[in-house]
Amino acid sequence: MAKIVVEAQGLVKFYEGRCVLDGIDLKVPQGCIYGLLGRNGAGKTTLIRILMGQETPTRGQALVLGANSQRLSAAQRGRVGYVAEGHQLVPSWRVGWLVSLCRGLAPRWDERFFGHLVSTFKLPMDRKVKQLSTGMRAQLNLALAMAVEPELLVLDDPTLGLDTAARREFLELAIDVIQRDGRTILFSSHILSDVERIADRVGILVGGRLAVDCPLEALKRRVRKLRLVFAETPPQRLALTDIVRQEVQGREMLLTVADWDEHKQAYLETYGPINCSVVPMSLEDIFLECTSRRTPVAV
Amino acid sequence: MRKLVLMELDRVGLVALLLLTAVGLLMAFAAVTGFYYPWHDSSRPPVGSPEELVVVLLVATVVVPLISTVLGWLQTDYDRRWNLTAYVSTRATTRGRMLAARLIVGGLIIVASIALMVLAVAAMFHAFPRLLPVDATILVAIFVTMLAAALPAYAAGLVMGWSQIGRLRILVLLGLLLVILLAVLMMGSRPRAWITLAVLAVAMIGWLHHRYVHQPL
Repeated sequence: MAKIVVEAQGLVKFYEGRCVLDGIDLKVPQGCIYGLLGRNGAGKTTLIRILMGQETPTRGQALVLGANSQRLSAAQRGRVGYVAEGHQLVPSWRVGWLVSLCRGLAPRWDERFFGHLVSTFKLPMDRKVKQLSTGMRAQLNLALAMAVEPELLVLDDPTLGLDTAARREFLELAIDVIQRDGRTILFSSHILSDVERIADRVGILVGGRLAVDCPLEALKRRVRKLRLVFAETPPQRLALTDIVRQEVQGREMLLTVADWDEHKQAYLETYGPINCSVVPMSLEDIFLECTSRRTPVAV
Repeated sequence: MRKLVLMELDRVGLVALLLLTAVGLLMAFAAVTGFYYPWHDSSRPPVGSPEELVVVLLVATVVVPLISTVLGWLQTDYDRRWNLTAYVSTRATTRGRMLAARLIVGGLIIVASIALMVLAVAAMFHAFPRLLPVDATILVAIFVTMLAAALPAYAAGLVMGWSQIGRLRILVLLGLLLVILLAVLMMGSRPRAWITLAVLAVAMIGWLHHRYVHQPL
């Protein structure tokens, strides 16, 4: 069984009386690329900040590399690469000084890989951070996070501010990192095609709860969208569990069901549809169905 | 830790320079005063006196803590303004170490400034042996009080910079700090006053440590 690199146990976070995280249980095994999805305000950044020890949970605990995230030692932090949302760096510093500081603090530093990234991204060492464009700041942040040879790479919306070409380069780099032994990546993103391309496990946060937590392929198998055509008006209510979404237009019903299996299929046929076809779903479709404000459902 | 200390030095180097320059100017004034004192020629009118040296040092006892407050305030205010800890604490270090590096740098700058004064006074004693009528124990007491007053003032500056409080409250806090310092100085340059100031400094640094380590970033 793979070692668990990141674990959340009943994480609850309240902000000024508002529940942002509501009992999150999560396990990320070693070597996994975990894509964390959710609409704005779903709690992705809060969860990541708790994992990085920048925020304290109201209840529950988070373990990173086996240690409580609130009490990580310097050596344990050195095994984690982190890119915060908005590419937080120190604007008044020169790039060269920032790099020198990060290099000096890191227990491991892959100079060759870092040099490769700097030349790929064409990062100027003599400029101040505030003089860099958003894209360059993102690239610098990624390069600094990756140069420490992290066992765990945590990226909070890392491709924000990158153009298409830079995003593609980043994804290739992420794949390059994961191909090294035992590396794990946990990342959140709004660009679902990126997640679909590199993640092998996804979690979808809906209103502070982890509505989905399973391998990407299993998710695609388990969530099924069906177009049902009836001879007359479709039934208003179906006695079926795990309905994510149900829409009726004339004699046609569009039905999205989680945990799809042959029992549900057999049960659905008892309603006598004259036609039943499967509508192909991308991750984006599944995400939209699962995070629909009308019918959030656990998968 | 070395990198963190260098990072702190990089940020407060200018203030350190200011502090050392202020101290240097004060000592230069004291030295010139001492130089013009008619030690050998009693017919020349006196321009300065050994007592002036004591006055200069007493002024320094107020100036050094005030600059120490500014030093501490700049260290943490810069950090809060630019999210320094939020970034650096995600690297291979801890907030405790970052605070320790900050205190080491601040403490060293203050001690170096006072040590500079001690050296200058020692040099003056060497150049003008007749200054010796000034009781050396008074000078020692002044230097110890200066250091004892500078440390809580520095800690207060750190606390003020880290707390998100308005300018008016900062002024009120500064006033309060001045009152405390004056009250302690009125107790005299005695061990009781030094202990009171040291306890004040430790209490403020303890509170700051708690806030700094546990505050969401």
